[in-house]
Amino acid sequence: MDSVIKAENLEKEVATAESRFQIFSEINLQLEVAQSLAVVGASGSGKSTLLGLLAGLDLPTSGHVRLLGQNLSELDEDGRARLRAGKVGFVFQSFHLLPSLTALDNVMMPMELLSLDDARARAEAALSDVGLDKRMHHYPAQLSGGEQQRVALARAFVLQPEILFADEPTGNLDHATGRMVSDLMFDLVDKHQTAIVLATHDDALSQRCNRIMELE
Amino acid sequence: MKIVTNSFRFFRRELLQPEMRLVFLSLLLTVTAMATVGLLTDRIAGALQRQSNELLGADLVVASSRAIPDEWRQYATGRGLETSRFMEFPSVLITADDSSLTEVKAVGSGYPLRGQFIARDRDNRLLTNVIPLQGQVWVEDNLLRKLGLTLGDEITLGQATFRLSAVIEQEPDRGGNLFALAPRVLMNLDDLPATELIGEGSRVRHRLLIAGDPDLINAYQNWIKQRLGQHYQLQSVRESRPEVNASLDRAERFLSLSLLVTLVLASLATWIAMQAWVKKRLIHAAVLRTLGLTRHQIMGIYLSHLLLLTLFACLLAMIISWVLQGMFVSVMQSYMAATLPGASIMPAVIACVLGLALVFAFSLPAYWQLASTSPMLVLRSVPDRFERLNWSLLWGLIVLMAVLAWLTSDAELLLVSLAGLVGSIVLLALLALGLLAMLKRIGRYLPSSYRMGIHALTRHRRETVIGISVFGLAFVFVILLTLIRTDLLDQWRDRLPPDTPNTFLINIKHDELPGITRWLSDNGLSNIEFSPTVRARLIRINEHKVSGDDYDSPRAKRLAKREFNLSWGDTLPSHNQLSKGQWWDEANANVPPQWSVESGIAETLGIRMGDELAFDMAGTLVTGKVTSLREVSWDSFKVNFFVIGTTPMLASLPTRYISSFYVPVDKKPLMNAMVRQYPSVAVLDVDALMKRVRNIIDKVSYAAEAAFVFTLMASILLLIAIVASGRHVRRKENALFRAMGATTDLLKRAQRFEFILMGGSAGLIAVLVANLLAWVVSVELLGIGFRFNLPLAVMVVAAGIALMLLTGWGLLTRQQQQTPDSILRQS
Repeated sequence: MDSVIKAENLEKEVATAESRFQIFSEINLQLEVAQSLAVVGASGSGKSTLLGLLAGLDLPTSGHVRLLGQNLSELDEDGRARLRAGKVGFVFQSFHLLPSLTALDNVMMPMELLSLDDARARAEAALSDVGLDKRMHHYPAQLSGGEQQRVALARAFVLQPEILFADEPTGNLDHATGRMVSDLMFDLVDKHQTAIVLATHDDALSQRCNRIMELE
Repeated sequence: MKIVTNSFRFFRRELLQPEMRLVFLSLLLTVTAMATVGLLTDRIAGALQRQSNELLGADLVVASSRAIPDEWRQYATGRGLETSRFMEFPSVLITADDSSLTEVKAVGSGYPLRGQFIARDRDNRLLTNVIPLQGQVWVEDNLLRKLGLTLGDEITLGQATFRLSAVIEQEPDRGGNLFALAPRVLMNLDDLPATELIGEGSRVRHRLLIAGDPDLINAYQNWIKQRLGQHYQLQSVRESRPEVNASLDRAERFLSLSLLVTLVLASLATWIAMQAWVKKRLIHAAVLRTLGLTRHQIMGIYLSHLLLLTLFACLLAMIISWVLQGMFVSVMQSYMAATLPGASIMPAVIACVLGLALVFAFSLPAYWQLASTSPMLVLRSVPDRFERLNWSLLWGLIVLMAVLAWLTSDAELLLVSLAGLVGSIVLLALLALGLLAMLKRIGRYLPSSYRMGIHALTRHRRETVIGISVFGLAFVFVILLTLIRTDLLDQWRDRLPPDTPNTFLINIKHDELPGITRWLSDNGLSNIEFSPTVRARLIRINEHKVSGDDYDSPRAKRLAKREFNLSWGDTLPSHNQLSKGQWWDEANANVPPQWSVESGIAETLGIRMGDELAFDMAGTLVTGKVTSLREVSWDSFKVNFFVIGTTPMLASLPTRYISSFYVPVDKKPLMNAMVRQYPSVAVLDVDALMKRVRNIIDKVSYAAEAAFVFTLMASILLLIAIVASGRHVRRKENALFRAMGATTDLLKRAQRFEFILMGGSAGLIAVLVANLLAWVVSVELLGIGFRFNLPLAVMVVAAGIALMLLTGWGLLTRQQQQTPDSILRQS
């Protein structure tokens, strides 16, 4: 079977007003089913950029990414979006829940995109898994930061993705809440046998992964 | 499609977003304004048209020198239209011992279909809208006096004898030509064969009159147009009454201008609100992309929201506009003599379609941008500045212009307004930039709260300049409309002052002139000018022989065939304006033969400066070059001529004189006495006609006031949109300042000063630009004078400050209620 992710010779440059600036180059990595990888490095080292490239949110300047057996460079933006649907989960530092939707609606969203019939039941179960069965009908603004991130986790895992991308998932949370959220996240990863790529500068968090990759 | 269906569930909450509420309000206003103004103008135009049609005697007239096919009449009757017909021809009326050339009108039953025909019989009873019985004729008073006849006498027309049974008091469609000199004789159409006057080669004008429901009339008009050929013409009031035409034109232009301005303002408000909304939704769209949605699916979700929003707004707007126009009409009804015809739903439906087009045009580029959002946005922060907003505006403006072009169908007005719009935006932006630079310098010497206010403006230079320009633009429009509505409208009304000429004296012989002048002056009517006139037909333009067949328009065809009244003189008539060329100097004894032509007729007949025109005047050919073009105000009720020549060229020809002046009501009986003394002179009383023109102008100003209310509302909405669109950034900034130790009081003062500066600047530069534009509009477009209105200027600057403070106030107080932490965390 193919690796979940395989990246070869990744390089990313950005153009500034005067010149071109290289964020990183020569990145090679491979991730198998249920493996975890932590990407660490100082602010500005390109953690989020690498995460974006691996998830197909952006394209590298040179090199290739194969995600779930597909060469991302061969797909257009919409093709990459279709590839993600249902198979790739995300958790963000600032949660990014849709403020006009309730917790339940937010979790149902990815399933509605796939027109699944049992969306509601599955969303309820996923929220219950993260301990939010009493807050299902609350809006994001009515939830604490930790609760919002738990809704985001429910949203990410409701379709049992093959891979989860997490960008500083505890970065906006206090120590205790952050720990609680990361415990929950790794429990879900184990439960669903999901591969995970985690961008963080939290040492404790990165230590929980199989592998650590440091960007300079 | 499931995504779209599901997205409807979120619609209600989506509506609660402040930006969406603003989009909804702008849309509601846009459609309500278009629908209400459309419904109102439709009804007012209907009333105007009907009133104008009274001058025509019908809603539609088919005219020809040939007999009009009876199936045309039958077709109209078959479709539920009323019809009537008459024939007009010159004929000599013979009495026992005298005769006179008369203009006979043989009318069929039902005449007139519009307006009032009034005659007075021997017993002084008024006969309204009936026609002479067979064997009877009715004549004008001056014919009785001229021939020394009394009612009851017998007269002969052709081979038939008639009894004079009534005197004509008012004939609605008389005066299609003020110079129709021969007195009127009215007879029953059924008597015509007995006279044997009509035969091969007779100069007869046939008229088929048609009236009825406007839709039926339109349908009939379309049907008949295909059958007219070159020998039949359709007549409408616009062609037969230049003075009414001028008023109607001006009225339409004014209304178009009001609606145009309202639409521009409301569209801008929609656009700004939409930009703010999209900016807020960017991150959501990016999240949806990470979840695997394609661009088209995202477009589908948001467009379905917009569609629902639009349909909801349209429905509401239709209901509101229906209620509004009903209220407005019931208020107006008491001011107006005529009842307004019923409203049709069409203008409201059209408004919805146009509203839809506008909203989508102003939103689609923004939506596309939303759908194309890079999903990377979820890993980075949202850009504070919304990029590429300029071309999305451009696209909206193009559609807006198309909508406006469709609504106004007046290319000149649209082009001038467009040029004005672009010019004002550039001018406003430049002035705003200049003001900002100045404020920055002054700021250094001010206390910290004021300095902070100025910094807030200069920090977001682009936003400030856009804000001041757009806010200023709203003011420009409001000032412009206020100027036109009050000052210019008054001036326009003043053009028909109480002493506007209401009486025409026609057909005065040269040797009668001193006597009549003296007689008038003895009776308190002095300083009356008489213009010489000769009748002539245009024969040649340069080497080209003039024929009706050369022209497509019915008006040109008629002008090419008919005789004009020419005049001559050494000075330009005081109420005319030269638009091209120069007036001749007759001090020079050898002044070459030349013409001055009214610019309208020159355009119709294709006459240009330098052309050589040849006129046939009762057999004498007179030739001269066109050396000037004149603008003539036809609605001034002064004597006007299409063509004026040099004195030496025309003075030796057989001449009649004509004059127009004001006769007070109490002196009107005197005019009858004059006619008895000078029987060949015709007196034409145009009071009734003037009353109608005044009435038309009054109605139009009411409609304009209604349109103006919407313009004001649109500009307020635009202001709210501008302030609200910057709210997010301001909130963050203020939270930062407060986190850094700025007191609430300091922030309040700084913001108050910022709003004062912004509102004041917008007001100030708007005054400058608007007055420049008002000058152009009033002088160039409406053809009326301009005066600077200082109190209005002061009021606008004050209003700019007040409105800006008031709108900003809600924002200000809400922000101070939140902790800086909660705001910063919301980012």
